[in-house]
Amino acid sequence: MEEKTMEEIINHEQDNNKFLHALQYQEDLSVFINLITKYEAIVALPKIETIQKIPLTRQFIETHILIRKKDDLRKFMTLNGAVGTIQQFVSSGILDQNQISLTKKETEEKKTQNEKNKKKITFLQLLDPPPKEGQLLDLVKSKSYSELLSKTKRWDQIGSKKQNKFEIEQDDILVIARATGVLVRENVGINIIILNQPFTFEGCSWGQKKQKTTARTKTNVKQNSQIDNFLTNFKLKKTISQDPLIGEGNSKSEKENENENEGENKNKNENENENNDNENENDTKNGFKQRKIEDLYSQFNKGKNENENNHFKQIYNNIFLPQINKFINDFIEAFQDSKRAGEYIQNFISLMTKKIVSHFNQDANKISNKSKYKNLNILISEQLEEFIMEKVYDKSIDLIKLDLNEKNTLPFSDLFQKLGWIKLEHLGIDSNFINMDFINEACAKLQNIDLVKAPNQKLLCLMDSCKSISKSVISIEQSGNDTFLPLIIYTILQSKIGNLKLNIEYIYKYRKHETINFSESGLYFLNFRSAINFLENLTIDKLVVEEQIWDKYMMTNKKNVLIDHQETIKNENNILMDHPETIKNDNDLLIDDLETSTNENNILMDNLETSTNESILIDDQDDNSEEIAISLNEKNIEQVKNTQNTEKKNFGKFLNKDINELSLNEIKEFVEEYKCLYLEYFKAIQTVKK
Amino acid sequence: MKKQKVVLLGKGRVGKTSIFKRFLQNEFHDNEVTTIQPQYLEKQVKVNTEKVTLSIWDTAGQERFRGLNPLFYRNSKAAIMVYDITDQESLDSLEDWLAELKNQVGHKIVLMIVGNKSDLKKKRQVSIEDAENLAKKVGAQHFCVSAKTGENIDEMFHELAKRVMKFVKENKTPLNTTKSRRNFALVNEDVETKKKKKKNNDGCC
Repeated sequence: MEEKTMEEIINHEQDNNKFLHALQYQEDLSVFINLITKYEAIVALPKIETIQKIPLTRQFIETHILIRKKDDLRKFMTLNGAVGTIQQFVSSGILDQNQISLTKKETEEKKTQNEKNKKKITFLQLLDPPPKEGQLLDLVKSKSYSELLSKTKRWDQIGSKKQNKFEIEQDDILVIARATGVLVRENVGINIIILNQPFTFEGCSWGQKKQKTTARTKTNVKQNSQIDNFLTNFKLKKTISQDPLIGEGNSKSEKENENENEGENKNKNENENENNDNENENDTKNGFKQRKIEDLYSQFNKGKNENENNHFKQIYNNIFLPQINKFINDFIEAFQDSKRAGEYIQNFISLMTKKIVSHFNQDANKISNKSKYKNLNILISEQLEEFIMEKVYDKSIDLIKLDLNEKNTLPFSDLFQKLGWIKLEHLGIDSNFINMDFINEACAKLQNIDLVKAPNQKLLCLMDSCKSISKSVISIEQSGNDTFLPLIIYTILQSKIGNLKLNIEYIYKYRKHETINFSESGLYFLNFRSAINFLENLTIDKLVVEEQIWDKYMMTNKKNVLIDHQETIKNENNILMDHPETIKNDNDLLIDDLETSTNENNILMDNLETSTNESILIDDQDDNSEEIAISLNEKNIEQVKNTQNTEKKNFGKFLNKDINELSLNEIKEFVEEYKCLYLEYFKAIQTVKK
Repeated sequence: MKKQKVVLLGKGRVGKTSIFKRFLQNEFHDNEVTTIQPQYLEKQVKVNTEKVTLSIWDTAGQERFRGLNPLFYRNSKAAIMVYDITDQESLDSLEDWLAELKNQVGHKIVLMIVGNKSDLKKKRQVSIEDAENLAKKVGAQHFCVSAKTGENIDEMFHELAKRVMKFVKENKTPLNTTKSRRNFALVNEDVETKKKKKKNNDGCC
């Protein structure tokens, strides 16, 4: 699920994106046409009203144009790369219409509901006859977009004559979305679906009609709602296809149809599934969850006789559970699209919930309180979410890890080492107003996040922790998000949960999005998410901190890297320079020598004085010779002093520096100068000795 | 009517939280508070005969947390932009927020520009004209309120609720069904659990 909103995408890509542009302004259709005709496929075009009403973003288009893969015609992809197969969708058992038989009353009720809500939309209108392969290109090319759309009216007319106009609900778009692995946005208005693949559903079909299909529809039509019919028949039928793959795929689907129809096969199927279940039931937790949903039924039907409860249990165990388990298995084995995984699961959950609720609703007519069932919806979907997510936890975490690695982010746990020094004051919070006990409590509660698996449970942990954080604020004046967000940041740093980011992303991907966007828990969650964002992109100006302190802590981290660097340089130098340390020692010795030599000089000088004092009658020659000697000595001393000065000069810039702060070049420079100095010293000493 | 998200924006210390709290405290009849948290508030407001639940999200206003806020804007129907009438800078900074909002949610949002601390008239720095001009420019409504005395707070929220309601109705597309249905279910979440609890209590009695 993208970070960017529709508007943002528009702002950013409006100019660059010809594809979008073409659709939006209905001018240059060539890009669009090329794209959709490159793959002769299912094309869903948005209604013209839709284009006017809602921001038409690339995302919208990407998710609403379904393209059939050329190499495998059973597979579909959307322009944004989401892949799905209709086959997969059938096999996961949702479409099994025999398993869920709705009573007439229900169908009627649904119909009246639909009429009341007026939520029906005309969804599929078929080209009649379907364009042959290669024709689609000409078809689209020959029309401007609006003409293309106006043509649908004609199709519509034909459709109503031949009764191949089909009405479905928003939910059914979700079904298609699930089949294709995409999330269908709200505000969807799809006007036409152009198919070149024969396509069958209730009341209309093209291509070869199989007898079985008709027979089945006859027997079951009355019992099933339109939706279920659509679902069941939303699959490709075997036709005079040029592509052998299609034949293969469809024969498979037909086998399944047979299974659905024939009691024996069905039972076999279920037995197999149940075997799967039994394996799964070894996990006691799963068993526990299963019972939970069943118990829900008995809770809701207090006072009903046990037969009904048992009946529901039977239905649940025989119908829903196998479907759920099959979905789980399919997901674990085959699902690869890490970005769509959350939506995929949520879509399944919402569908499944509806089916289960519909069984509760069989008694709904008797009970006037309908809001009760709205609540039931939530309860069941929560249960399902827990049940499914606990089973697919490992897989989904893997998918998220994959996603995070792709982004090349720093491992989150590294942040704690790096930023562990941050105190409340640095975040602009006066710690006098904070009760640290509660912060500690919040940290402890946050730790629980690793103990639970389901996203809703994890979210509860976050909420728990947040409530403790809220309590920690002593002054009422300070409460509010101004204080709250820094406190969360601090709590995260204190708790040191290495995979917190992973957990947050997991919740973000797999939790129902409405929860995150509209509820209280959503606020807390977003606070956590932005806190992590904050920590990851921390710069000095975002903290109340002096530069020195920042440097001190943040540099030590850099230093660690530098020190490593330096050590290697040192080693190199060692090879180059024959142990600089011993040289240093040598120098020390030399300096000692120098001092003694100056001392000697002093003695000489003293001697000179005494000698001059004592021996006035000494020869001029002697005097001269001694003077020469003194001057020589003095020169040497000066030389040594000079070298000492040069040392100060050259090393001056290094004197106040921390060795860790030096760059590679500086170190080289340093060593070079050390070398020269050493040689100078050596010379000086030698001359003095002479 | 379903829950509508409202974000509170503004520089730190302009009194966002106080406005929030004042709204919470003012208990005029027919208004039901669902959730009370220092950062989050749900309150039902009655406009004429209809009811709308505002879920108000407080955001962190400090400069250093800028750039995190867009996460919170998503799906919000309205934004209350708060400035301090004694602080010219707080009004100026609103423009940044406006730009940020525009980036994130476009123009499809109800905007309120609210000058807080109207009780400190002597210290007023921001001229009403300036604020109203800004409001006009961005299609917002301007209010002067005082969280301290409670002046204009209820009026402001009522106006907000009214406008949100109008806005939601106008922007309802016929196919917006899933969304509204979902929201509806969610709104009932809290109420339902409450009812359930009540029922359980009854049973005990």
